[in-house]
Amino acid sequence: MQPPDLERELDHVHTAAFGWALACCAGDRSRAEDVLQSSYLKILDGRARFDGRSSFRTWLFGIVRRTAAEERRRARLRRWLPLTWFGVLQARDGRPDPASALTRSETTRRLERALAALPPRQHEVLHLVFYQDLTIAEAGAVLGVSLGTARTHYERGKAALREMLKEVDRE
Amino acid sequence: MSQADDRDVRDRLATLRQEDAREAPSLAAVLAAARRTGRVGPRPLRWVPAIAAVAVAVVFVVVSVLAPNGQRQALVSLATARWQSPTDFLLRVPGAEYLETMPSFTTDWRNP
Repeated sequence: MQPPDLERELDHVHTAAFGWALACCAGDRSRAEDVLQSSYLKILDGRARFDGRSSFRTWLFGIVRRTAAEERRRARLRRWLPLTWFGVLQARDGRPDPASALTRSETTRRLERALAALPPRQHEVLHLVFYQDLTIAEAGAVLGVSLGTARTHYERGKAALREMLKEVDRE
Repeated sequence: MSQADDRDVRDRLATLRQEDAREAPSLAAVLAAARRTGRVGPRPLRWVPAIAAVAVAVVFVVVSVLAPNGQRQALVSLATARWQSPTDFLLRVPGAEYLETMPSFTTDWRNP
């Protein structure tokens, strides 16, 4: 796929990819933007190649997820660098931006808190199925797990989220 | 979990999706930022200088330890070194001294 075609494909899925990047970065908007930039860069400079074995969206989401994991590892390493101790580099704490949190409705913030409290895999499967409208099989492909494993995370995540939302609604 | 519950979760996440979409930066802005921070195109081997620097440092340390005066020198002088196993005593069996001496036999019982 040539760069103009890639950019056209990215344009189709960009908003969804931003939502997925936010989910992979625990709602931290600036980190999600960094992850998205790095992911697009990997695609455009040919370090990540689309081979057509899955849909473009599934493939892109897999890249975003791996890039977010790399970013988390780098952030952990950065915490130990002397530059961070002297305040030259600001280590992020992974929480959502305060500015972003202000613009969100209370219901959304509660939902985000409930999702964040789920184990990561369950959170990811629920996001991919309910937010991104992927099938459980596609969600499994993004996460690199089998359909059975994805289904287990989906069922457990759904039950746990339902309980949490009941508690949130009672408050 | 019932279908209605599924729909409820889906609706809640649809609201979240709409709010995220409002905040999403444009693709052009993300690509422009990506191009500013990283070069698009075949990436140069950016680890090569770091690896080369480490290799030079390792060579320098090895050379400085092995040949401080331009001559190869052993780290330990073997002539003065003596090593003894800490479990040597286990090889010493009771009565070993009898095996190291030659017994003498005689028929003269008064002068053995």
